[in-house]
Amino acid sequence: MAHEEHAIPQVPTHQEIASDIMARFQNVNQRYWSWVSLLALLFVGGIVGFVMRLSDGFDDRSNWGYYTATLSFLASTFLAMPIISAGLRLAKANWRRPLTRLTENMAITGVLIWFMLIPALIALPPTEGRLSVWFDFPHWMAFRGGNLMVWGTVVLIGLFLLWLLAVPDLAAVRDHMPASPRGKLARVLSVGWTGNTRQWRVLHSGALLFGAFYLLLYPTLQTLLQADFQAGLLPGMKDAIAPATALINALQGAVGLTLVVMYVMRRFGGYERYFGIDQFWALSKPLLAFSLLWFYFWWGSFITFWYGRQPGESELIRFMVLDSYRYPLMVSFMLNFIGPLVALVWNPVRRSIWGPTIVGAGVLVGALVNHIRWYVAPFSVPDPPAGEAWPHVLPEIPAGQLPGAADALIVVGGIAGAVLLFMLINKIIPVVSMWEVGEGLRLVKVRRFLARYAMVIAKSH
Amino acid sequence: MANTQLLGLFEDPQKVADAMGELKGAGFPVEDLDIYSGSPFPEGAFGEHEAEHRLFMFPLVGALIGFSIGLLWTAGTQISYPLITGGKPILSIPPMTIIMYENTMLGAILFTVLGVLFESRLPKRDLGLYDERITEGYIGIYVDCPVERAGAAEAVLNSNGAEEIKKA
Repeated sequence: MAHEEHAIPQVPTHQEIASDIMARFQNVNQRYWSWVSLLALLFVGGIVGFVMRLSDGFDDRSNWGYYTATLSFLASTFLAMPIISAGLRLAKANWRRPLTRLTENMAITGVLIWFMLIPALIALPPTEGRLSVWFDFPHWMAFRGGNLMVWGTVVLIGLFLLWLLAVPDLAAVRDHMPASPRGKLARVLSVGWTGNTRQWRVLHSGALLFGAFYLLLYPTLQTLLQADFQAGLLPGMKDAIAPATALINALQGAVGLTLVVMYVMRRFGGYERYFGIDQFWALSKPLLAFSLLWFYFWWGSFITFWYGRQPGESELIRFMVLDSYRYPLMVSFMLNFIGPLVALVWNPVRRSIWGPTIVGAGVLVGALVNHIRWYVAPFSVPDPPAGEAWPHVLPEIPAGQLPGAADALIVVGGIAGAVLLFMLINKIIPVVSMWEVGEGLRLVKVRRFLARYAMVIAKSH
Repeated sequence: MANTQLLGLFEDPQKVADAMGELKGAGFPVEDLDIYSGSPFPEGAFGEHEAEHRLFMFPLVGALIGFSIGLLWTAGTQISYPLITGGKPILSIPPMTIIMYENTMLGAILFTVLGVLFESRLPKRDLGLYDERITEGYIGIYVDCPVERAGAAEAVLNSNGAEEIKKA
């Protein structure tokens, strides 16, 4: 029987890739500016919402619940994305090459997130008389300064990781971009890079170090977020795996956001050849794994409270699971666990562009709703009377808090601000890494294998 | 003895590997040869000298300094302003560890940035002998040799198909 002869896959050259990416990078069209304008408008709306909240002061902490939920959502999706770059680089995954720059560019959103942290910290009550990881540290430096330092360091690591891995491409922009402010900026940021053997060796080692630092410190950020903005405000909250739960949810959110951004860049940015089926298919697998872990960690926490049956635990279950925040939990349960599980167990869905994208979008919506549950709820618990210690049982269960106009502006504006920063940085640093894709091309050879052709990928080191 | 520098530009990596082998065979020390490229090749792909670096020492030193600052800072403030709560020890270790860990990491990353710049010999205002085609995918062989041997180096680069040879 004659076999069908398949076309021999063509592997592009470095020159082709570099000129293609540079052309897309240099092109700043009307559609780009339209999106930037819209996002800037929404971001300004967010600032208006913030000023509205600010005018009411910080005495009523419930005013700042949605603000904090937005902050934590951004920190658990946008700011978690460099972990994908660090992790996949450590794992030497070849398919990651076109997409890691996209995740590194997201580190720029950390600047916005860090500034958003300041009002959220001011809204927190002093640590005296309540449970916290800071014990009775009364000094301002303790939880406010500690949080600012930890979050700031995570942001710094992300920015250093981004800069280091972008230096070779910034040098390409320096060399080939016509004289312009962007070209001048690239000249400064490329710091005289020429691409000699020593520079490449140091870049490889430096990228591994920064990636490892990010992986080491990001869990600390999530621990403080959980401890200071949730557990420390909820009487009866004693959940040892809460930081790990938050971390797993952040990884799920980061993968979901990566899929959605890849789809957008593919559909509207003309990057089809870089964000192909390999990238979507490969990322759908960790997305499924994180979705299963979402349930595992949620169940691990829930069952402890359920069987504990102490008054504080029972009241918390009523507040966070059964009564006030039942619907947000159900939405999140569907979009972060059931939906991904039902969809991604099917090979044809995983092995598609649209399947993982839709699931990823759902995961993001579920994550936002879950963060609202996680942070609006504790911010709605009133302080104890002056001079009294914080109780171990909720004195009364607050009703679920719906967003006001200012809250809606803050949520939409905060997310728009992060996307806006991402869009702006994409015109300073190419969204696809020319040097990493170029390096990967050299490791690929098409070989005859029996009746077909196979793509053979070598290990780079 | 005065030295000069040459940069041979190639499009084909195989020709670069051949030229490197021939240069070494002609007696040019491997330490005086370098490869410029727009993306990295597997180490030793051209038989080039693999320059040693000490980048990993920088975060270690930074981490030690950061940890020490964190320890002095947290312990110093508590000892300077002793507030005894419920008869507990003045030094509260758990919150101290958060600050010390954070300082350790901060020290490590700041020193890593310095290490990256120092070990890469960056920043440089003048790119020196360089060609913009390198970031397009061309590969450059950089030769640092005595003036009187420049002709021999140029001949090797030319015979292996260099598209252009630049001189300092």
